[in-house]
Amino acid sequence: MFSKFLRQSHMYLALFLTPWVLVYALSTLFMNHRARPASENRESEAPQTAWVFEQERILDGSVNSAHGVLVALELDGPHFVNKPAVDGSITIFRQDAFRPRRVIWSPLLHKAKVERQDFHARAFVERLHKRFGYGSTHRIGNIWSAMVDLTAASIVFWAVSGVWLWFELRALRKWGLVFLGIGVALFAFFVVTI
Amino acid sequence: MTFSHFNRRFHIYLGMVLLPWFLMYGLSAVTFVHGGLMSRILGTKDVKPWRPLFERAYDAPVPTADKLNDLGEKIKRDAGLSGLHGTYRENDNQINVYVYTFLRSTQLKYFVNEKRLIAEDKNFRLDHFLTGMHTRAGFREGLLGDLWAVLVSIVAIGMLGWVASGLYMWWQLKSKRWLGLVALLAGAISFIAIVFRL
Repeated sequence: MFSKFLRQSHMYLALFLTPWVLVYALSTLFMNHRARPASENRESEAPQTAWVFEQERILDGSVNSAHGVLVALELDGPHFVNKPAVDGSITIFRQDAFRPRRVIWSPLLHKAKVERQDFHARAFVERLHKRFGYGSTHRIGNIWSAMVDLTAASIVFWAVSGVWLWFELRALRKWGLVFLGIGVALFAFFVVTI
Repeated sequence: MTFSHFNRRFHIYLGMVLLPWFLMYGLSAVTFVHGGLMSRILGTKDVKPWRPLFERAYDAPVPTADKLNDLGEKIKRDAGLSGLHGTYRENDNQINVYVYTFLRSTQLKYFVNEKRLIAEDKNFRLDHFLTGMHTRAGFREGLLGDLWAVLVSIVAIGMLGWVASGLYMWWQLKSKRWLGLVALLAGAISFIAIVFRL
């Protein structure tokens, strides 16, 4: 009974979370084969993260918050804000899985410049991979984080339940143990040596 | 052996050999999202971050910003350390080099005017150990680092293999097709609905 429950949970959870697993697998491949680390990427060399000018507008003088700026620009949605620059301007990052934008807002001049990143499949999956944590300005950001939590917990569950289900298959025990031993030995070797 | 038998064994044995990576990625992902909670559970919240290792006279010419990492490499070697490193100019007088391995992290502070080098070791924290492994990737860190990157790619391809072999195994179970299809579609629809509003 317990094994049946475990087997079905293992399978149905995996089917439900298939899109998340695909995103994490593909983005890991992309990030692992990046020519150079992200921190060394210059915008001119990385078209997928280059900011493209979209519009510049003078806002109503009553606008006095990042949220207000986004509402005025009809760009309301999950965002975060950097510390003000020396000239008092504030950069608002409007998160978006497909086309993120940044708004450089000068409260003194009431001016807002909007730039965006164009869609690139690689940047899209990498953005999803790196999007986590609660405290988003909008509920959808926290829902995504809950799904990230569910995926992480499921990864641990698949590992544990997978070992249980394997151990029940007597015919596969010997070779399973060999593969497990190889994996553990390789992992331990790398932990100690690098 | 039929394809179904082969597929089942592939799914299981791949899982067994990559189990340590799978567990590491799962646990470290939880650590990323709930760092505060994990440090409380692991009792690492109050661990003092650094402990002194040595302080000595040191003199090396400071290159231009684009060559700063070469200086970091030299300081690391002169300190008798190995591992991945990053070099950062803290201010006009101070250059920091962080040397990182899975089990040990060292901070080297070079004070240019005083011609002094101070080294501090980071106290081991399980949560940082996990997140450090999670983020280590890329082919740029010597032979062992590159081999680790190969394994990271194998894990990622393995995940795609689990998805494909898992889908095949589910489809073979005729009595589970409808409920499985509901789970698969519910996941796909949820994913699309969230991502389009994210």
